[in-house]
Amino acid sequence: MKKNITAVFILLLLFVFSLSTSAHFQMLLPSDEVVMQGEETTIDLNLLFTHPMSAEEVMDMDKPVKFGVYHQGESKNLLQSLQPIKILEGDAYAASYKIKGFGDFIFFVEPAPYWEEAEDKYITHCTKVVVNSMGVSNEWDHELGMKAEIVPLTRPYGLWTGNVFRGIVKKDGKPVPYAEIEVEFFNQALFPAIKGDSYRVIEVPDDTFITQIVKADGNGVFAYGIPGPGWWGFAALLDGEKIEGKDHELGALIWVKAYDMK
Amino acid sequence: MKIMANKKLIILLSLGFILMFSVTASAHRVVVYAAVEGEELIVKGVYGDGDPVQKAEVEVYGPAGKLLVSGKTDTDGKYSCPLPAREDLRVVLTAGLGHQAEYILSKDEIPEINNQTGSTNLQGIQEDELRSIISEELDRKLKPLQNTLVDIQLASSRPGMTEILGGIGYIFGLLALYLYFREKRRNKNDDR
Repeated sequence: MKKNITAVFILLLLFVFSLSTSAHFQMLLPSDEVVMQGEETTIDLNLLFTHPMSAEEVMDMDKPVKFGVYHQGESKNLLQSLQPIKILEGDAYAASYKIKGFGDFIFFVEPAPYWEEAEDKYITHCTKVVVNSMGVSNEWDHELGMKAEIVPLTRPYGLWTGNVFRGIVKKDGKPVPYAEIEVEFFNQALFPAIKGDSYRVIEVPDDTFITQIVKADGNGVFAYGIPGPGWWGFAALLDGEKIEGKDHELGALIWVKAYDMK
Repeated sequence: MKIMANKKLIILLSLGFILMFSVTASAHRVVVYAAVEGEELIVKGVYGDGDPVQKAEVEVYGPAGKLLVSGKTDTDGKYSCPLPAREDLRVVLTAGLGHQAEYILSKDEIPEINNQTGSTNLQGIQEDELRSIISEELDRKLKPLQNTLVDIQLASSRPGMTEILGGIGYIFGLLALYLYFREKRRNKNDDR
């Protein structure tokens, strides 16, 4: 009997440990990130809150506070176009957007604060992804002015495996010195509900490889060498304003996709 | 003589610079995009960094490869003309030194109805949603009108407070007039 209890405890501990090693990431995943002439101009977007590398679960998302696209000096509200979907049994959202014209289209989402029981705090990840049309690169570095935002210093598409991705972490428009940035690979093969490229399942030597961690310098600038093809998420985790007396993790996220040189 | 040589060198160098500059400018990739707004065909040419391709030649071809219309882009890289045909169109933009780009505007990209303002705001909204949005909006906008209609109907079916008061007023008024004239006549009779 006593043995059983010990076993249960160990299992529980392991479970808690496994939860804490993979980070939360808000995802905003487009079906294509560079739309050239003659390609499908309607972009499907998946919005989900998950652990992208370990794919343990998809957390339930409430309807976002903001969801839209920035293009040619204008932001368009796309909240109306959100459709609730289920990914790995979690509440997520999908949307479609027809790209018209050339240039950069910056999609952004400010989700509703997510209550994380295990960490006794709220989490809000302000996330963006840039979709380019026809190879005209003119606005990818535009700052949207989100509460927390990564402003890219490297063009966030058309990236080779091995490119160094750089960005500035900003909170309320100001750089955040020595901000901590978590980096995770989207282990797409573990998310069968999301159609896309077929990558092999990435296995890690140990849990420290799940979430990579880099810190920004004194100007809030960070850099990360992308080691493999696929989607990579960068999440700068900052302190947000408390909600009902509880801690509030404010995240600034950007997603980029890399390709192997063939 | 020495000054002359220097001058020549300067001219040569500056010519070289100008040539280099023009080469780098056109070494950028050129992109052309075309769309129909209302009854107008709008063409825009840009370099890969988004800068406009100025004074570039624009040619619009129809389905059989027939040249329908041509012109030049302005300083914003724009060229517009009345929509030459509701067909598949091939728009060719030629910037200096033979840099060319083309855009195929397929027939189904040409909007049927002329509503520039509407179409831009409605991106990403499904038809069903649009329907429900319109019906909600209509309900909201028509509510006051509906109320007024109901009021009018009620008013015509039975007398309201104002009508009753008005009626009493008329009765008093007429009575007063009657009394006034009767008094006047009586006075006249008395004077006689």
